[in-house]
Amino acid sequence: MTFTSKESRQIIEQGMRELFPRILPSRLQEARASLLHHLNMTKDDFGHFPSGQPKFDNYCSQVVKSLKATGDMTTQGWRWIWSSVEQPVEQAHTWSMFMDDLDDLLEDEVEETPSLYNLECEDTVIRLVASTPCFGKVAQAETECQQCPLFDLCIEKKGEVRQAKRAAKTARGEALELASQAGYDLSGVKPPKAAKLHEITEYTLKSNSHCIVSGEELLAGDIVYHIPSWGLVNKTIGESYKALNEI
Amino acid sequence: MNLLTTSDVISYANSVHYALHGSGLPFEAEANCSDHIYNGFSIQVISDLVNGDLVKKQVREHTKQLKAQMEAMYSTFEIGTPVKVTKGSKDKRGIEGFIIHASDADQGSGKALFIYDVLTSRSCYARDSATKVRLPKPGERDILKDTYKTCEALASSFSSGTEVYLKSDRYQTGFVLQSAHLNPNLAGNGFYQATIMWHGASKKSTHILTELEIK
Repeated sequence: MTFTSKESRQIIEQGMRELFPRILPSRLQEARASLLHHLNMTKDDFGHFPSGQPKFDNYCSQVVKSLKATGDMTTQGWRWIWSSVEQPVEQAHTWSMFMDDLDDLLEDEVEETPSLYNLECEDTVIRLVASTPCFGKVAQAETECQQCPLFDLCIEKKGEVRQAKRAAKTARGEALELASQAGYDLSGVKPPKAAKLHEITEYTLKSNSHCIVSGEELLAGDIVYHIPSWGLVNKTIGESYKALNEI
Repeated sequence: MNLLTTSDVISYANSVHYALHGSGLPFEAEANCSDHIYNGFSIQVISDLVNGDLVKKQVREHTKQLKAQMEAMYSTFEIGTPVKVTKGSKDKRGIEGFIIHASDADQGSGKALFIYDVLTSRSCYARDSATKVRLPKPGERDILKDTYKTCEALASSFSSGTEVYLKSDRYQTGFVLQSAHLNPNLAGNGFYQATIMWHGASKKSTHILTELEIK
């Protein structure tokens, strides 16, 4: 028997509402496993995407999102917290006393968010990043990303990359504008792959030649630029490419 | 500015080289430039001066065409096809020469080929199955043509009794025992050669005329 998306979300929401006030806070993987156990179902019961991934994780994320919107739940990284626990005053009092005693007993041994990796250790982070090819490409809605210990760092990195890209785009625009003001439209010019733009060199011409980009004649005595594995370009175009290369 | 053909590339590269260095493009193979895509001009230098992608593409296409041409020649064992000897004794194996003559093998099937390497003056007979086609080195086919021409032009000078020495070893001197002639086993093909009796060694050997110099 398969459920529609709506039915699946309803089942999951109902299950969460019954179960989560009792078991949260908890890490999301454990919470999901408990939920399946509570519903007496398996991931297969909710069907699979064409890629083979189970739909259950996705439905869970959607329901959590709606519970967060209503204020019933909050999340901290990959930790789920139930925020509308209504405990009888007396029971809550007993519970808090018990927790205080437990804290006293365990003191240093209790950690708030136990993790397999110590992300305060630089070596660990370096090693983790090196073994994570997708680092910096976080998709915040993806369950896999949310479960990743590098989730927060990845978001930070993605932001940096995006900022650098934006700066490069602006600088590129300025360089193209410089050429455009001199009457050269470089936006449609595609340098050959072999062109060594980083080795662009200034020369004073010893005899006449031609600009490879604009086709105009370059005269002996002119100051031009040579782009290895492409050709000669006039001063304006050369300076634009030099600026583009410095981005 | 659109560069399309190999002549466009040579012309622009030459103008850039003049403009930057005050001299024309350097040569890789000046005298003999057969099968060289840019008439003997250095491919490396050209690739640095003009669109490197285009140079790479042109070189690739040129090699492809040359390969197809050589394969067609080898399929009929045409005289002048560049081949490499891949089997046989240590002396033969590795010779990279040209087919000078092809005839039916005396024993078994296939062809018997006479192969001559114009660069090292080594030669051998080999069965066609012991050879494979190869691409001619730049200038090599020009040297082959020159060798035919020179041998023909020198034939009248190498008459019996003429004192000669071996170009590869100036101290080896002798005299022409049998004047310039074509190898009778090659049915009119091949280069003019002469049989020389060497002084002091009391032995004779036959050489094509470009290997010898008249004293």
